[in-house]
Amino acid sequence: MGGLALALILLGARLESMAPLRTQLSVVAAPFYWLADVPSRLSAQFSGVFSSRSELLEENRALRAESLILNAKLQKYIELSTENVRLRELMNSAERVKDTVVVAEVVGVASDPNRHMLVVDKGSRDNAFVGQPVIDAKGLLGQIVDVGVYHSRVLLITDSAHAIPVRISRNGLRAVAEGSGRIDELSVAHVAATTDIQVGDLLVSSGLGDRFPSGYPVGEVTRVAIDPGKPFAEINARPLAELDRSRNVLLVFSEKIAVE
Amino acid sequence: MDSHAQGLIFVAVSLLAALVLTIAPLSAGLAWLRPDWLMLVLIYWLLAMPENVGIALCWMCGIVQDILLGTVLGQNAFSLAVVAYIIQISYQQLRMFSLRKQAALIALLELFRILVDQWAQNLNGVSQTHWLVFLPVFSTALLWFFLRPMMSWLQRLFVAY
Repeated sequence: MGGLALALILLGARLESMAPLRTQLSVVAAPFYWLADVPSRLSAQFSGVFSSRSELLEENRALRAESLILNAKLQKYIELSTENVRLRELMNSAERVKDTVVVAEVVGVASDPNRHMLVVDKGSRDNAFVGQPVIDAKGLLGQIVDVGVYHSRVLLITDSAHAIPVRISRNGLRAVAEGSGRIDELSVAHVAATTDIQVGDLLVSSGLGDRFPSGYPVGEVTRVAIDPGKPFAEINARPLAELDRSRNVLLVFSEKIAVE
Repeated sequence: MDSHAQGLIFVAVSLLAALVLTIAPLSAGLAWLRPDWLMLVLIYWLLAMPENVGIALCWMCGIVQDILLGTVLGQNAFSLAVVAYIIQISYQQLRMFSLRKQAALIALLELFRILVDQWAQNLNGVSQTHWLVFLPVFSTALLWFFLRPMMSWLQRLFVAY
């Protein structure tokens, strides 16, 4: 028994043929996630039943106001996006990427506090795939690393095993943002001490590496420490996505559209 | 229903509960303290019903735990099988131990489980670990003082002899 398990450990990480087996086995996990999620679903339902009329009216008013503001912004966005397409045509850019999203609900978090992972309720049944980018309303959240039939596991950008290619939106400088293992911190690795990078700079995904689509906000630089004795600057950033609060996340499906 | 079947159903229900508690969401601070429910419940049954609960069952529970947690497939199966073997070769003496002695042994076994976990995760590329990962050694051992009396009380309540 012990030997069999050891063989599984050593081979599992190396054999590609293990992946479909894992997907099939993950069906076992579905009822457990459902059960473990019952308390939070119940509390959500209770707060829905017991919220007062005035609270609901207030929330309704706030949502209306927000919708108005967003619609106003959208008008500008349509104008900008047509202008963008026109400029890309001028530059003879061969393709552009159109992103569609699917809403997924977070049904679990990694029980090991050392790992930053979420379990979401979309799996291979909903065409989720390994490597799929996941975002929330504020920014980039992470990527799917493990797809089951009904559930997938999302590795967050702050996990110590994660790194994402980014670009500073102010000047286009490329860098790599690595997870620090703390939920509110990223570290930007291997940036020369003479580089133009400031506190408050916005990091967006650069699209290099063909994993994440380009242009999603990733984080904001919170600390730049330059030590003359070290070849690289020490740079920390705060992730913009609400990694530890999001209940609903968006799975991004990118399709490449050729521009005539 | 005879008492044997009742006993087996109680074993199954308690193991399911332990697995759900393993993945139940906890706040960030408390999560470091999460005791190893599955190992405690398995050890209880290895001592209480050694003729029914053996290494094979522990191995299967470990596989289910691996699937639930998304860890390296086989890591919990391996450590639980080893724990089951250690308990099984000496269960007659361990039953006679005081709660405190049993809890000390459980702390050691939990330490072994955590070390296997860290080793398997390092194989998978997780490099940074915090010393807090060793906190469950204490929480698991402490929980044994409450879990064993509670389980034997429940066992007497639900399983008629």
